[in-house]
Amino acid sequence: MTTIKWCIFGIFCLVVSGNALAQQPEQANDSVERAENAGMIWFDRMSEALRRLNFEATLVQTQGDRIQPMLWMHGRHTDDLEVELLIYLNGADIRILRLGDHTSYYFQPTDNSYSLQSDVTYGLLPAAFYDKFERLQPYYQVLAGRGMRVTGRETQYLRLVSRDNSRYHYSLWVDRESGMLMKMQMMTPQGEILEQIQLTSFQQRAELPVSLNDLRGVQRPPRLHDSRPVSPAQLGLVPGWMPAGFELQRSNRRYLYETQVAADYFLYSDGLTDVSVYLSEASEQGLPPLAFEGPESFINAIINGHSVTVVGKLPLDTLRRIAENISTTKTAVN
Amino acid sequence: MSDRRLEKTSALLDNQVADQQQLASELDVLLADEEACQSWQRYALIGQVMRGEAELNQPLDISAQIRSRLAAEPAVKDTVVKPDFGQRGRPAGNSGGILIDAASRWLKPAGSIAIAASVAVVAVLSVQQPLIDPAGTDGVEPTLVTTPFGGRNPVSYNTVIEDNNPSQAELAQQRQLLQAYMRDHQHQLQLSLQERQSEAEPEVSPAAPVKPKADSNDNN
Repeated sequence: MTTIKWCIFGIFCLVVSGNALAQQPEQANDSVERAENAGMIWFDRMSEALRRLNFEATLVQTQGDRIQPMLWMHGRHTDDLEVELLIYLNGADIRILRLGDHTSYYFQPTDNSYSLQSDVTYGLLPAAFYDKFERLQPYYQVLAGRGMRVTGRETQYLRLVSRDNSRYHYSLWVDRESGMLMKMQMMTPQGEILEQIQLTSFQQRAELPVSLNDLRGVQRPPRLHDSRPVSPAQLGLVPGWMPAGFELQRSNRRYLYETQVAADYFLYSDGLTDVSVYLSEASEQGLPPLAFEGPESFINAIINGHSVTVVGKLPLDTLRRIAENISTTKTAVN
Repeated sequence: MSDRRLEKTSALLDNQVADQQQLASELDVLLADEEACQSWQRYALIGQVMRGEAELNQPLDISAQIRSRLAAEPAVKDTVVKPDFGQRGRPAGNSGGILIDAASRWLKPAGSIAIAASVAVVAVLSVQQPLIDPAGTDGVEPTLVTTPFGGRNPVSYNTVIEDNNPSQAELAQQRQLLQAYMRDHQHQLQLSLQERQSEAEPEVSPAAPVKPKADSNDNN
């Protein structure tokens, strides 16, 4: 009698567990969707915080064995003008000052300072972090995960990955209270960390930090612009393959910055990541085939007598594929 | 403190006081007595250790240590960064006073937060130390991207022998070219960013001291 009971119980267990197994994939999808929705909400909170908060922070940026401590301040005047200031504390005195959409880069002791018309402070974070996630959504996914304590604060963890796994990934830790970004890691799809930003102190203020008050009067350097003549690309070659979402931003023929190497140039962007492609006569350029992966990866390949050089914040495999797929103008992307 | 009261404290901690009313009154007695509070803390710790919850190697109360350390810290002000920003690029006579004022005040935060920043660097350094390769840094390729190349002097050309190994001079030239690509890429990114901005929002933000856009047609 007992054996029969156990048998029935066993069958019952099997049925139940079978059902559970069948439901699992669905539940997994469900939880991914939930994580994604939460992730987008948190990402947008972060971008809002980067625009609105009044704060004074110190941070450390590391790239490989290089360490750069920085001072980071941000706030809004009562008339809503945004002020942001970044100061590099090691080595050359570099300051980035932004008032509204006027960003200036000050370099000491060399005096090649310049200004940009830009309402994001390019130099610390990807420009896309200042905007809503919406624009990145077709090609990237942001997933909310379990946070931890960072810089003494409870944070929300966000994982920003490309949908086709062809780009670098970001890990973000966002303060639960203010939405502020407290820590960031950029890594290869294999998980090797290439760059980190870690806030070491963070003070939120009710008003604009005092030290940002007077910066409206500071002298601004001249605006950056293309000083050398450019003409349309003329080799009749174009990149024939790009990861999904990359669109052509610029294309021209000119001399490479501060050199005599003429190149057809193409700049592509997917909204978060940018990649440059240079095409020149191999005999004119003279660089051997070489490649390396890092915060900015680089590849130089010689294909049919042309030097193909690709530079960008992308895994080397992706750059290689771009370089190997240069085609004649007819099959151009975009 | 009597043994009986110790026993009570222990019982309280282990939730062994059955009667609610008794519990409340015992707690009141306990909280009123500082000595008892301290033993409460000790008991709680003992309990945590026995349950394996306590963090070992952690000072139990570091607030006092921090306070004394802070008191001993010399007041550092503006000694880390020497303000010299104001002297450069100052327009002669043209509202120079305001600019210098603003510029020197701009430097202040760097001084007062410098301590925190230096502490942070030490923290990161000590974490990174074990990772450093004892074999030396000569072969580390990626540094060639980030460090300036001023130190390398071209070797005279008559030593060059025809083979596959590039000469020092060629290497230096190649590195320079590599740097040029990196810089050009950055340069183009910034120009592109600027271009996108002027397309996206043609109106100038009300208070930004932006020059009239005479040069906006330079971007192509």
